[in-house]
Amino acid sequence: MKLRTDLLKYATPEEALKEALANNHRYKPEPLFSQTGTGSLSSASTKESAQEVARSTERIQKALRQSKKTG
Amino acid sequence: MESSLGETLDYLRSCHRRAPFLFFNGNTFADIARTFSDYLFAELPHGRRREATSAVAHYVAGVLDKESMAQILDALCETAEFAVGDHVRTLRGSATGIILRIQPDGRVVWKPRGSRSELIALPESLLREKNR
Repeated sequence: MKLRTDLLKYATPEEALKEALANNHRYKPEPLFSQTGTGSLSSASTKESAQEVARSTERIQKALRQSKKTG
Repeated sequence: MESSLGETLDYLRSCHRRAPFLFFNGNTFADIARTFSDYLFAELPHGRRREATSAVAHYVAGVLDKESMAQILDALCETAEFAVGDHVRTLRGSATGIILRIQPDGRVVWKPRGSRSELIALPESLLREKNR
């Protein structure tokens, strides 16, 4: 499998922000990692996983379309 | 400036560990990693890509160590070609078993260990079990 480094130019801060907001509730609002050396990230529900897959698919398809256009 | 995937993830993890914000440091850095790794692993099937981005986010969030993340990514990037008798496990390792048949449409019939039932799965939803 090839790592698609060519698609990285389509990764925007807006995409990261959208993902961060969608996963906000899975993180604890405490600096656990810096204090204990172990972080925290709770599991996603089935619904959230499905939404994550949908966002990911949309993102990748958009990037692939743009990548084809620019050759 | 060029850096490897490992170096980039280490950097994001160190940012998270420094906790520059009072609240919610994890989602800031782990989800940056989740987003760009989604593009990097664009060639993986959906299920495997989700597991790969999840492993990366868990590493940056300080939940998973580097060796475990690398092992998960290595396993997910392997080709999903199985033969009868191969020992397999589910993507999250919740069940292990053995391949019984390969169907003409490419799906595999496998039997989980300790069970009499036969399950049908897409090959990309299973991983080869090492040390078997």
